[in-house]
Amino acid sequence: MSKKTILKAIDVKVDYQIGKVTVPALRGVNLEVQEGEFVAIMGPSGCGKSTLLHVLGGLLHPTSGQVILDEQDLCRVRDAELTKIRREKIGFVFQRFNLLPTLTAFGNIEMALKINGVRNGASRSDILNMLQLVGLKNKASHKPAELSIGEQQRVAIARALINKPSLLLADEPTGNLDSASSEEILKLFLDLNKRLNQTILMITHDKEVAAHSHRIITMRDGQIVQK
Amino acid sequence: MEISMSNLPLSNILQRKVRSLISILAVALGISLLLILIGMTKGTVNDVARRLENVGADILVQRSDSSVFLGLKSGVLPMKLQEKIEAIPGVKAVAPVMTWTASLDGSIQVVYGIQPETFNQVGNHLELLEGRLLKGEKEIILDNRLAEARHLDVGASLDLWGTTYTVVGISKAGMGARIFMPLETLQKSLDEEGRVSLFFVRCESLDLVKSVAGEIERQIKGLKAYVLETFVDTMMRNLVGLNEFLMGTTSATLFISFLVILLAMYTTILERTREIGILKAMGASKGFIIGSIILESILLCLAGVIVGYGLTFILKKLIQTFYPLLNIEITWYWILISGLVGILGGLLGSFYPAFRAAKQDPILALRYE
Repeated sequence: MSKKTILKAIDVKVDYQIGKVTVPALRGVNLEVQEGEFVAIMGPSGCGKSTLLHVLGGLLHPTSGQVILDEQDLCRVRDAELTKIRREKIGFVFQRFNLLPTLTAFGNIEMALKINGVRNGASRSDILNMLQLVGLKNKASHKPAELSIGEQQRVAIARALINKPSLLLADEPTGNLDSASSEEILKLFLDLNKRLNQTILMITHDKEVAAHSHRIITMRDGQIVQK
Repeated sequence: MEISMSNLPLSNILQRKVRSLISILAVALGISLLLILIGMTKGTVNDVARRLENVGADILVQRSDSSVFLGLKSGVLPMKLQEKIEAIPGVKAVAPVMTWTASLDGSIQVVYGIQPETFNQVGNHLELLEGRLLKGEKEIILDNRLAEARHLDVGASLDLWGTTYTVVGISKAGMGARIFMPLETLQKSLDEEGRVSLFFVRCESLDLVKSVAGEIERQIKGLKAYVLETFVDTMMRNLVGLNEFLMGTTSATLFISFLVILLAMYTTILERTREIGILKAMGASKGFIIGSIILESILLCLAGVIVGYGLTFILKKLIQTFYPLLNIEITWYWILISGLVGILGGLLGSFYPAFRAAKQDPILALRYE
């Protein structure tokens, strides 16, 4: 049985206007990701990887083209609908973790549920289960500043997954980590991909990191040069 | 296992302690300022009104252009009007009174010049706690609050306007003035023989009070006859500038609260630009972000209001310790109003930062260092 296409980008172009000059960031990107795939996007700095991630994650409207996530065209919906899609179907993991510093590990994950309209009570066990999945159940009450950088990234992953998104987008998730922590995070990604059938799209400029994925897409000058 | 929940507004307040404390104190000062100023104003006005009511007369007669704050004008009526008023049907007794003020240790006290016999006929008798009524020329009666504040007893001397008077009695506070002296003595010392400030009138029966008051105004032009039973309300309604003062003080508090929260929340959202970007990337709606910032502002204001109430009662105690004759009346009505004003100011002040935060571009916000 063929796998379902969960994400499709069709001729996506993004132009930035800098003064009177138009700078193309994406020059017609075509891409398909199947459900349960772990895909890495590689390329040098400035090749448009992050811009592509922002477009695929519904944070940026492309200048032209289509982005279809779970059969919904992200380019044809209003901002409010895009926000809803983001909270229900997309999980983000960033290079700098981006945890809310005033909240505990538990609070950071709970915040994702609250944003999604899930109230207290039933969610508590889900959060603890998710913390257990990333190996941090015993650090639930720790604030980000009290966690190691590897642990902070694991909390960020747990937060990204708590709403069971169709797609996990990771922007250089190991970029700020030492090699041991990087290895831990990549193992966690592989584990989540295998156990939860989680679709993951990861941006990296590191070949070793990309090698952990099922498929590597290479970008250069705003275009995909190798799938 | 103790796990703090994801209450973002509360955790932000607790995390940024100095900012929160300064905001709370600023709102609290606004609330205290409002309550103390209004409390002092209301206290003074009510004290004047209640003292007049407590004289026990039915009607107060003044020149129509006189101030209800007695002592601001002295001999403005000829004393012979007493006979004309007495001749009006339904009038039982009339007491002429001269009012003036005396400065004691920087505080202004109202002085009544009275005829003890007529004064006691128009209402409640001057209740003496010690000593006797006025008989001689250079005698005075003090109320017990003034006597206690000045440590004066029967037989003591007190200098007023360069003349020494002997304290012959201590009366119960709350009736008329704090200092009583013979009418003629006060008239002479003010060089106003034959003139008085006002008349207190006693009617034959309570049913006649309104008609007698109307008759006084009708028969003697230029007089105003106040029914003392409703005097507090009349005074509050008619006091020129009082409502404007209350409105001004309330607006100032509203403005302080507005500015404090606007500044606090504006700097907060600048400081938290990246966090707002994170929330947006996580799919937080504009409403969620606006609600979160407004809730944080309301919590700050609520804390400010509660601290403000505490501060007000400490200030009230302190003021009354150092100025025992000052009346500060803090009513539930004004406690409620000041609280609402403090929170409303904060709410208004949080709108701009909240909407600005909600409009932030998540990508730019996430790049923010």
